[in-house]
Amino acid sequence: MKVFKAIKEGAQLVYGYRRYIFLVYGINFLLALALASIVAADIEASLGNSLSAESLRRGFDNLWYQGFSAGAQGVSETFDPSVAGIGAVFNGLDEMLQGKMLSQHPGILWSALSYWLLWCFLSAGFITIYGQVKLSFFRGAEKFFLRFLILSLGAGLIYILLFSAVLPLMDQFVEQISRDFIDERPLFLYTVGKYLLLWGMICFVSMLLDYSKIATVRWNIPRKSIHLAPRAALDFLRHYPFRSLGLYLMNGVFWFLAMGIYWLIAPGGGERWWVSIFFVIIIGQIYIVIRIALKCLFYASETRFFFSGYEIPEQARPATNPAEQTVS
Amino acid sequence: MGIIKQIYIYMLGMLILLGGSLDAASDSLRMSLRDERAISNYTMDVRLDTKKKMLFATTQLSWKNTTSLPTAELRFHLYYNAWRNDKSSYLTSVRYRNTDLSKYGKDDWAWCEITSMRIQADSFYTGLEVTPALEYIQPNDGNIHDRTVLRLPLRRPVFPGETIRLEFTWEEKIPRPFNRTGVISDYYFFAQWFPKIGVLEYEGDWNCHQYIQTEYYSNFGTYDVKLTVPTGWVIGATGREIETVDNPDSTTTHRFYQEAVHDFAWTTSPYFKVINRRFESANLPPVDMRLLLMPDHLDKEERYFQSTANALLYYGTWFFPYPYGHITIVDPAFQSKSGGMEYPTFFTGGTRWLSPVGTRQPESVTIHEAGHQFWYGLVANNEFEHAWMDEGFNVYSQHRIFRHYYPRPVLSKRYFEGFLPLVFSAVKTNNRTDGSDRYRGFYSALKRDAMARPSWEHGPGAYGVNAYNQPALMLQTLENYLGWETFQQVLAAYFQQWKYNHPRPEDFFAVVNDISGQDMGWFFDEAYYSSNIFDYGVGKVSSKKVRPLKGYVEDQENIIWNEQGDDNSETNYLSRAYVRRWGEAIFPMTVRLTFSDGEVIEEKWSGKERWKEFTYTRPAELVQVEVDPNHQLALDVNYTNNSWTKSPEKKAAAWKWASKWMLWVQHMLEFMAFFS
Repeated sequence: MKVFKAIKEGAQLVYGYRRYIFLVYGINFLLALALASIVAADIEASLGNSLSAESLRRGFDNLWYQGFSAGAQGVSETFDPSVAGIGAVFNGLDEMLQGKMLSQHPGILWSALSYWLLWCFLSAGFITIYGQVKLSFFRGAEKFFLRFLILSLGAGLIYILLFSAVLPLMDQFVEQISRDFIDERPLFLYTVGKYLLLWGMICFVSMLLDYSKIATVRWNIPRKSIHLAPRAALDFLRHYPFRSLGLYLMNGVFWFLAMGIYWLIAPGGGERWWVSIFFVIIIGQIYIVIRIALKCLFYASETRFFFSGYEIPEQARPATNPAEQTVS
Repeated sequence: MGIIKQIYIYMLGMLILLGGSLDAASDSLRMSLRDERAISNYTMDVRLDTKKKMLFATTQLSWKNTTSLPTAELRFHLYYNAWRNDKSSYLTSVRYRNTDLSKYGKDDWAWCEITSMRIQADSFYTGLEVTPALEYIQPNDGNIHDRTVLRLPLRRPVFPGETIRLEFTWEEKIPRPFNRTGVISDYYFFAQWFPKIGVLEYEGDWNCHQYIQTEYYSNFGTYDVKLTVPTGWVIGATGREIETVDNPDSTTTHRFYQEAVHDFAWTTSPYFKVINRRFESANLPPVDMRLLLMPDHLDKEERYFQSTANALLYYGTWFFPYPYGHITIVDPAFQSKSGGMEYPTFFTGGTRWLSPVGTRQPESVTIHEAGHQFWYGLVANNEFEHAWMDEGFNVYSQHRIFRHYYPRPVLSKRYFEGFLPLVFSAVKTNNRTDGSDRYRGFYSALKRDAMARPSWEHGPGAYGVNAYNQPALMLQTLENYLGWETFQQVLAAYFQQWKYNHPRPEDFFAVVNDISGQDMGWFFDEAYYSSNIFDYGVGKVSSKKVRPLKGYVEDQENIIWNEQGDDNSETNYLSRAYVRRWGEAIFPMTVRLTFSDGEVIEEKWSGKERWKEFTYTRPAELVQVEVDPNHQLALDVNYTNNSWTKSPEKKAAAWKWASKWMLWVQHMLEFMAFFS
């Protein structure tokens, strides 16, 4: 299957099952809202009846913020004005890039880990419906959750290894090589190279994980043989290195494109009234929905690509008969 | 010095010895000796060996005793010995003890040794080799591993008014950059690099601290310095280059000369691009600006020049015209740790490869360091002990430029290991003199040390607050309290009185009192001598309808019973507002009360009581109360509690920002989902 065809079929499936995107969005929204309510209450309490509320509403009140941040506790400690506009994306992206996702405030970390766990469950449902296996979203999710969890934990260990062992080694290398640099630009290029290499490995693991999941669904690979799933995925990637990479990059391009558009239109904090505040919230939420949809597009296009005629190799064949899970 | 002045000094010295008032005499003497521009004069010949990364030099020093007492010793700073070993007082100081030295190899450390010293023959001295008499001393902490102060005992004292001439040779190992000096690649920056004589105070004591955690202090003098570096390398230094000689060994000797300065720093590298421009402004003398720019910052040329010109213009207009006629701006090399530092007629800025205008890099550091040409360069306080007198004055002055002539600052943040900046133009922040809340840790640092404590003794975190932020806010508060016209006169008079000299805090306080015509001692007692904090706020506020009179009332000629008032009776509100003094420090306050009919009442409050109640019975409801509404007291550590409004917009404000934070969390969740 060609990359564009996989994207097109994937997009149709994503649109067809859009209700599940909103389900995911709803969970994302509620998790974040629960935490945001605490922050809002803390901000409100710190403002009291002060006129600082007025200046904070109209823009930002840095004098208030310095006092607030010095005394903030709990998740409110993490509040800072750089969450305005594209900062809300960049702050997270930067932490992700450098592998600092696990060093978040406990309140946010637990929410993020819960969400990660939820996605292990939901991705099973999505791949089931995108693979058009004769199972419903939730039946598929239920059936494959534990297998996906094992695969995700395995990948997670590799991610942790990459961030905690490989990245520091690369840091050390770049630090040594750039020790006497007196021009910032070559160091920037080395740093770009470092992250390209690191994220090349991470994306490979991510692709492997995605196709392992897809293989698990396609051939109903049982839990005790789940180690065969990455083998099947690896074999698939060996067969279609360029197309699978092309598909991944194409999806990546969509992701960056969406971010770029949001960057252009994301309001930065100048809104003053409830209507405009609400409008800004809506824009941000639409972007979250788009992000979730794009993640689904990753799964959908990869699933269609994998399901389009590729057969399981002999050595990766599980003990059970995969024919039970027929492809529609 | 004229003979009459010498006699005067001797007589004054005698008076002191005879038991006169030391304080009165020394103050008088300090005033009479003002504007001494040639106490410590250096002629140096320095060769840079780029292969060995060493300096080889000879120095001829003439030093004049301008105090009231003879001295039987000389003391010198050998700053480079601060990085001679890891037990030095610098590397074990509160400020630097956590410096990561793991990556410093043998070649990265430093030392400085005087290999020979002679007293030159003249009318007082016969010429003497004194090298064996040199000894390292540790006047501050007794740390025997510290070799940053060298003492030369003298067989014959140097009497007041006399000049002693020394000649010494010395060698120096150049470190990997430590605290704005050293070498990285082919970029050399030399600051506090030569054996420098300390300051003999008017009371006869040597002020020659070990190099621990503060900056510097020296007498004014003339520097005539020859610097030999590889041919083709660009060089920048204190003073003007007056001679260049190419040597047969592929080196070039550059001679720099400068009078009436108290330090000499220089830099050299083959990578600098040199750009010259002239600052010209009506009513101010022209200044030749020389910019040494690194290749990755070529696009910052205009911003460096504009910032320097703004400093020369506004400081020159407000305080005193820049007198030297030339200034060298160094764009420091990446990783050189030499950015953001001031030296006479020469300073380093600092920027990044990507640095859009909203980041204020290099504007902020350039104006600050150019500003130090005035507060430090010309009015040269003792930075060891009163760092606030140049840093605080300079932060205040720098931000006065920003407050009045630049757009309001905005938030900026760097991503991707600091390479990529993002400017949040909608998130306005503050200038450093806008208010005390600007500083994290401000409160705890204030409670640790008062500004009056010598700078080199400040505890962890307190140095920055007490040297920079608190004094800048103190000066901003003074400006607000006295008015700019008066305060500008204060600063100009202080400058005029203490240029080319070393004022102490009391000297500034005296000028404030003198020019303003007010005794501001009460303010300095709070803001300078004590660690009290200022915090005023609005306490409880109430405004309730007054129930109409119940009872017999007169209605024209009749007396009638009034049960609850009638529709025609006027509705009154009884309004009470409590204002509070939460901090220990006292400052007179203005309290502004706004009523629902638009009427505004301003009350004065001495600010001395812990609380004060304002009560009104008026036909309109009290809707807003503000203490210090014009934010006169910039030192107030919590400005949020300075106001009360009946209808705060706190829900909209809180949710506006909480929703942005929520969006960040949502994205964090999605980023986490990537790994699922």
